[in-house]
Amino acid sequence: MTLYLARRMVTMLLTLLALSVVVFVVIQLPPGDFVTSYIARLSGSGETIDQAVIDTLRERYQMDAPIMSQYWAWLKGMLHGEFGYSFEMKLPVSQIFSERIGISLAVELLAVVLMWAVAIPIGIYSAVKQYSVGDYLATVIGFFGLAVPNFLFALVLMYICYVWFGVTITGLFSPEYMNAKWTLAKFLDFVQHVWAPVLVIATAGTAQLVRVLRANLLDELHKPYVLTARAKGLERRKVIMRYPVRVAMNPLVSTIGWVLPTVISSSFVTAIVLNLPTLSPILLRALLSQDMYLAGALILFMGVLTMIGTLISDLLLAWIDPRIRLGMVGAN
Amino acid sequence: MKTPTPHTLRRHRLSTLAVSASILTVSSTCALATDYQEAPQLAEQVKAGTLAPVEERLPENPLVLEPFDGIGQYGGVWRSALKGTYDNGWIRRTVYYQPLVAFNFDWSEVVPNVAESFEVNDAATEFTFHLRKGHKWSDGEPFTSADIDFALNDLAKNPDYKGEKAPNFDWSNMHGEVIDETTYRITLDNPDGLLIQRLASVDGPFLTFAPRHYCGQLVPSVNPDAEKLAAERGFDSWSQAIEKTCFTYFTDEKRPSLNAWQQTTAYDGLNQIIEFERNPYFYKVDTAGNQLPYIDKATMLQSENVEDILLKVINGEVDFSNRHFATVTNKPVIYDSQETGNYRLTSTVDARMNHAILQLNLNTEDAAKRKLYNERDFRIALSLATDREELVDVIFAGQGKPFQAAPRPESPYYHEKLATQYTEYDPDRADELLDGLGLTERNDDGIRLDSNGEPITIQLYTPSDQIEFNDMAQLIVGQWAEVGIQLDQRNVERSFVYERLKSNQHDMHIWWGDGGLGDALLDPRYYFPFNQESGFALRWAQWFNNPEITGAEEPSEPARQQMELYRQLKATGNPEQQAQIFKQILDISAEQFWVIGTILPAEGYAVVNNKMGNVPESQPYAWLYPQPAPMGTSQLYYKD
Repeated sequence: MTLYLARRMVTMLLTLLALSVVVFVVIQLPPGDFVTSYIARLSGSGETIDQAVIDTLRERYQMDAPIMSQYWAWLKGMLHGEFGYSFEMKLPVSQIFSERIGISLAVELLAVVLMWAVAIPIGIYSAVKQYSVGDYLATVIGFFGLAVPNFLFALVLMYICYVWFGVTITGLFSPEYMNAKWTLAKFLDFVQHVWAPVLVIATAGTAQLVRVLRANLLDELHKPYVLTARAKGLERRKVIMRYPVRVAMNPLVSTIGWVLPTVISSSFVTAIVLNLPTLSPILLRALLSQDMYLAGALILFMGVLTMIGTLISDLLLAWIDPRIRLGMVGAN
Repeated sequence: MKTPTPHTLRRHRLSTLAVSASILTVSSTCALATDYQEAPQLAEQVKAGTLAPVEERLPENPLVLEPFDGIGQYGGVWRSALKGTYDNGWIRRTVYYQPLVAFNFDWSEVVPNVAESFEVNDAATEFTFHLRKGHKWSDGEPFTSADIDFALNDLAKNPDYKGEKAPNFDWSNMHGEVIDETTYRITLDNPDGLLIQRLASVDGPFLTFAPRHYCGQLVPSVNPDAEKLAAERGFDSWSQAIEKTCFTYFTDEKRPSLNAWQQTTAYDGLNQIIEFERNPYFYKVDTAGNQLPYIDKATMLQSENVEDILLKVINGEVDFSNRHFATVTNKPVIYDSQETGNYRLTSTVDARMNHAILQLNLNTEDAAKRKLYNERDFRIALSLATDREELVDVIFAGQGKPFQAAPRPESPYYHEKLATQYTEYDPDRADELLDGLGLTERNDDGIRLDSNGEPITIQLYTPSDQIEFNDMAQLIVGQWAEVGIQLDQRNVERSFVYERLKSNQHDMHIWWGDGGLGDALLDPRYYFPFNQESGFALRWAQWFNNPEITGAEEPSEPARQQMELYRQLKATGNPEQQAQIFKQILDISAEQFWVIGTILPAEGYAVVNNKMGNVPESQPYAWLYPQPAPMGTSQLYYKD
C-alpha cells in the first residue's frame, strides 16, 4: 500500500509541474497583460491615466521581463509558500483564498451531499421498478435537469422568485448579516439563502448520477447471482443493497474524486449569476484582467484538488471492491 | 433632545426672522448660525460624554448648504450597488468628493467647498486657498494646510513616490507652500487657467483625502521607519502602501476623511457589502443649522454582474443610483417596475456628446492608407454614407439625433457648424466625392480600389464589452458597402483594442464622445490631438505633450494652430477669454473635420426611491463632474 501511495505521489508532483507550465503560458497568451487591461478598464469608466504611471506599473510588475524568468520567479515563490500578490485586488493571494475557501466548500459540499442523498435512492428505485410511472417521472425530470444549463436555471429561478414572491434570491446573506460575525441568526440567514444555489448546482449533477446508477444497476439486477440469492431466501431489499448496488456504485465512486475541484469550477457561472461570495467570481475576474498570480494560483489549486480527489477515489474503490484491491500494483 | 420635525423648524425660522432683535427666544431651534443641531444618535453620545458637542465639532464657519426641496430629517440608509472589485468610481462619485473647491450644481462655475474662499490672480499663476478654522478630520484631529502640503509635496511631487497619482496635473509646474495654518498657496511657473477646474473635478480630492497624521507614517520624509512599517503591513514598498491606503483605492477603512459618511468596511473585493457611517465632524450644515448629513448610513452591495443589480433595482432595493444599469436597453424594464419597486426616474444630461466617434487613423504607418485617410473628402464621404436615423431607430429605441463630434447643444461652447455638418444621409453625394478622389475602379464585390489596385478595407476592432459599438458598427458595415468601402469590423476583447491603439496599428478606432459639457475644456480629445484617447492622431498628440518623446510626429499646420491656441487658453484664467479661444479651436475643427460622429445621446436617467427628498430632477452626467456629488449628497434625506 505504501509503495502504491509513494508512486502516486511522485506522479502527482510531476503532473503538477507540467500543469503549472501550461497554466502560466495560457494565462499569458492573450495579447496585452495586466497593465493594458487595467488601462482599458479605466477608459471604460471614463478615467484617463498618465504615461508616466503606466511605465511605473510595467516596471513594478516586471511585465517586460522574459516569460521564463517570470515563470521561474513564480515557481520559486510558490515553493516558499508565497503564492504571490493579486494586482487587481491588491491583496496577497493566500489572504483571498483563506477568506473565500470556507464558503466555497460549504456551498459545494452541501450541494454534493444533496446530490448523492437524492440521486441514489431515485436511481435504485428507477432500476428496480423499471418502466413504472415513478421511473418515467424521474427520467423526464432527470433529462430536463441535464439539458437546462445551470445559469439559465438560476436566472429562471431568480425571475420566478421575484415575480411570485417578491424576493431577490441572489447572494448568500442579507445585507445586515454580510459583515457580521457568525451567530445562530447569521447561520439561519445563510440557510435561507443557500437553498437556491444548492438547488441549481445539484439539479444537473443529480440527473447524471441517477442515469448512471440506473444503467449499471439494471445490468446487475438480471445477473444469475441475484436470482440465486433470492432463491436462497434472502429478503429482497437486502439482496439489492448488499450485492448489485455495491457493484453498480463502482463507476460512481471512481468519479467521486472529481467533486473536489468542482468547489471552484462547477458552480462557476451559477456563482456569478447568483452573486455568491465564493472563489468562482474571483477566478473569472482574475482571468479577465490577466491577474497572473491569482488566476495561476487558483487554477493550480483546482489541479491539486483534482489529483487529490482522484487519489481518494482510487483508495475508496480499493476499499469497497476487493477485485481492485488485490489487483493493485504494490498489493501483496 | 427630540429630533426637530421639518414643520417645527420652518416655523421657528420664520419667527426668528420676524423677531430679529429679540433675544428672548428660548426655543431650542434657532435658524441662523450660532446654534447648531445634530443627529439624535450623536446628541446621545454628547450627553453620555463620549463625543464633543456639535459647536466644537464643526469648524468656526461651516459651509451652509441650501437644500433643493427644504430642510430634511435625520435617519435612513442610502442603499446602492457596486460591480466587481474595481468600482471605486461609484464611491468617488457619491461619498468621496470633498475637494478644496468644487463644481456647482449646474457645472457652470467653480465654488468654494472645503476651502472657505479662494483667489486666483489675473495671470493664472497664483492660487490661494483659505481653509476653515477649527475644521477637523473624522477622527477629531485638526485639518490644516499642513495636510494639503503633505498631499502635494510629500506625495504627488515626491520623486521617490512611485505609486499612482491624480492624472492630468503638471507637477513640476506646481509649487505649494503653507502661508499659515488656514492658508495655502499654489504657485505656477507657467500659467494654467484650467487648474482651478481640475482641482474641482473628480481628480481634485487628492489634496484633501490624505491626512498627514495617518498617511504620514507611511512616508519616509515624515516617518523614518516608513519602509519598515509598510513591510510589516504586507506591502512591497511604502509607495505601494500609500497607493493602496491613501489614494483612490478604498481598501483601508481606518483612513480618516472629511466626507459626510466615514467608511467602516474595507472595499477589498472580498467584503460583499461596503458600509459608510455618519461622520460626526462633517463640516456642512443646512440653512437651519442642522449638521449634515441627514442620512445615517450609506451601504453599497458588491455584485458580480449587472443583471443582479438590475434585479435589485426593480425590486426597489436601490435608493439613488444610475451606476452600470441605467442603459437604454434596461429602461423599459426599469420604467415598468416603478410602482412595484416604489421608485421613480429622474433625468440626467449626459456629458458625452456622442454614442460613438469613428476615428480614422491620420497618423497610420501605411503610406497609401495615410494619404487616403488624410483626404478630407474621404472622411466627408464616409460621414454622408452613414444612415444615422437607422442607427437611432434600430439600436437606441428612437432616442437620440444625428450629431458630429462637438459640444452638446446645452453647452456654452456649442458650435452649430461643427455639430451638424455632414450629418445628412446622402449616399449619392458620397459616391460623387469618392469618384472625385479618383477611386472609380471597383472589384467584383463592388468595393472601390485604391491607387495600388487593392480594395479599400478599413479594419475596425470594437471592444466586446461595449455591445453598442458592435451593434452600430455592424449596421455601418452595410451602409458603407453601398458606396463601395469595406469596413472590416471585428469584436475583440477590450485590452486588445487598446494594445493596437497604443502601438498605432489601428486603421480606425471607435469610442464614445467625452467632452460635451463642462469637460470640453478639460478633455478636448476629439477637437484636436490632445491625449492618448485622440485615436485619430496619436503621434501628433504625443508631440503636443512632449515633442522629444520617441514616435512623436510634428502635426499638420491646422493641428499645430489648435495646439498653440490651447496653450493660450491655459494661460488665461478669464472664462470669457477661454470661451473665445475655444471657439477658434472649434472653428478649425469644423474646417478640418478630423473625426466622424454619429448620434447625440438622449437624456439619461437615474433611479430614486420615492421616499427620498432633496433629489434633483435633472443633473449633468459626467465622470469629471462627477455625478451626483456636486449636488451635495449630504442633503439627501428620507421622508416617512
